[in-house]
Amino acid sequence: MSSVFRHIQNFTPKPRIDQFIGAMIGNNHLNYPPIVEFIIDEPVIKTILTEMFQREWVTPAGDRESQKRYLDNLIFFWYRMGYDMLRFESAPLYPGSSRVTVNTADTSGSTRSWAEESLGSITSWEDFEKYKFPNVSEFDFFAFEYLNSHLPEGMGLAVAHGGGLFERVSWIFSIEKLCYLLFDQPDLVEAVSEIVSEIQTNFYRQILDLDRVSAVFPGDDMGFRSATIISPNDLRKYFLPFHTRIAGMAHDRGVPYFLHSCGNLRQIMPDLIDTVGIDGKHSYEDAIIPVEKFQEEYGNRIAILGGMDINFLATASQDQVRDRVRMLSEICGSRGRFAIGSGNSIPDYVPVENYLAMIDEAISLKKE
Amino acid sequence: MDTKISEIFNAIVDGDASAAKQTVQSALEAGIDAEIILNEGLVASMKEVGRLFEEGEYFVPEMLISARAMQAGMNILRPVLIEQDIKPSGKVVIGTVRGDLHDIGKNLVSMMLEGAGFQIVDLGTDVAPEKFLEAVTEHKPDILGMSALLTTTMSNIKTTIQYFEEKGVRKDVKIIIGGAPITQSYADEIGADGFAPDASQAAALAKRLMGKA
Ligand code: B12
Repeated sequence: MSSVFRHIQNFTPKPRIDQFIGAMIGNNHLNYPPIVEFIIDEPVIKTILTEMFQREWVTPAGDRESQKRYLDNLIFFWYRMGYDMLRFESAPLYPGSSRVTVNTADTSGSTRSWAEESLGSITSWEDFEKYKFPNVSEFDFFAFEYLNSHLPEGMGLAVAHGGGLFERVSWIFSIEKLCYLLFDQPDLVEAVSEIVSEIQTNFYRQILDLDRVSAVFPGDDMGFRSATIISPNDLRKYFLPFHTRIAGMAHDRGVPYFLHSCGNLRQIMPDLIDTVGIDGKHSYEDAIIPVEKFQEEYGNRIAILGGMDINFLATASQDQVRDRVRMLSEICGSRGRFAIGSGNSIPDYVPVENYLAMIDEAISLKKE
Repeated sequence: MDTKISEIFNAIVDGDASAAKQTVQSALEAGIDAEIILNEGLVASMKEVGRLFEEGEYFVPEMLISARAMQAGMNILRPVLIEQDIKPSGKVVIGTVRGDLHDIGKNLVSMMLEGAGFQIVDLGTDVAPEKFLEAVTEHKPDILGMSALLTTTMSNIKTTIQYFEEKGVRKDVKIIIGGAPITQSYADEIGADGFAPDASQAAALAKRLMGKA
């Protein structure tokens, strides 16, 4: 890491989750945009912790000690970068398959894993009977509990079941099979959706008990470049009622429901806002609609979380990233209910310096 | 439109594979010209499916089942087309680039191209530049299509085009590209011949490049 990130190095984080949430739900206005993130790939966190803060990286294994040290690193990272809210997701094991390739972002021979798109684990009722759906009562919630009791003062915890309902169901069937089954065997789709929905509901019941939870913030990619992947009607039938249910549980617990969902969701935005009751939306792509345009349309009703396009973040110069932070801060920040961050996540192919430039510039805009 | 043809058209638009098979069969038995069945039945119906997809009325599942119906009809029709020496609109070699296993976007493009009368050679996913070159040398397509899902794998589209340039074969084939991170300006920057944001427009683009639109 050759560049200097003076603001990150020199500031003392003072997380204020109450102010952050207040600003996102529109109760108060901040004179700077706070920062938010959905997922930060581990290689990025590791590079920053080891090179910028000289911390020792620990890969979590089966033992509690390594798990604690790994989680301590996560807490340190999110705190030191200036986030008010640490987002954490985890999930029980859903048997299935994925495939790997060489990782084009890394020359050291590591691999990238991909969802299996055409050969699923369930394609018939027979497979369904044999499939081992996970049991939440056997899931180890230690990581959530540890974060809950070790977060620095002022920081909040955003929680999620890793992989939303639509995603999990589409991985179990494979996306292509799911598409055919919606026509060929809709009852099978319904049966699997119901079970996965039940599993996730139980999961949320457990984590919503934690006192530091300040938002429920799941990811469930329902769109692609030009529209929703499956029809709005099928989403309404099989998948959106689940989001309505979890959003309701979040609201009953007094915390907002922020949804990360990629792709072009134009046709279901009214459902998400009016029926599901999302309080904020994450995931934006310039090729679909730049975040500032999206905010023009929906920003008076929901919070706009993140939005710096991944293709841009991965290919721009550090100065361009800084310019974009200032521009987003001026345009979107001044409208309120906006937090700066990526349009999707910080994948390993975003140069670490670009990520740091985004954070560094955002910190520089913080006026006490 | 002839009722036999409109039955084929409706079967495909509705995604009914067995009806598509039967209606193509019955049109052939009634002595309707195979080329008319192809163009006014199969190709026209997939164009309609593409239109519905572009307008946000059809989604990925609807497109997939219509394509399946079209293929069921095509399986009946193909031997007749070959026998009568009716040539496809053109030949396309297509694949997802190296390091990338995203399949479904490329598959939809293949199906829409097939539905537009093209002959498709699908190389699958994780296709290295050398493999693309091998396939182009072997099949001599009019068009080469490349797909990528992420910015990090998109760079292998550029690598493949450069490889074709190095080998002196870039001019032998038109190159079209697409996928989530791809834009027209990226296509221009790396010297591709065309870009399309969705499968339906990919078919229109391919026809344009063949001078048939
Ligand atoms: C589903 C999905 C996933 C799934 C499955 C991916 C897989 N197979 O492994 C999961 C959840 C696993 C996933 C993971 C990730 N994803 Co993702 N994902 C998507 C999503 C939502 C939809 C992709 C999809 O299935 N589309 C459906 C098909 C039908 O559409 P399509 O591929 O676009 O194809 C159409 C057109 O593009 C065109 N087309 C396609 N190919 C071709 C070829 C030619 C020649 C032509 C003319 C046209 C054409 O026609 C097709 C039909 O209309 C996109 C959002 C988006 N905008 O697409 C993000 C997206 C691709 N993901 C993204 C990211 C960042 C990731 C992760 C890196 C996140 C992370 N930090 O881990 C990982 C990495 C994946 C990996 N394998 O390592 C980013 C990529 C940004 C970028 N520029 O690089 C996107 C764009 C989301 C965003 N908000 O920015 N992802």
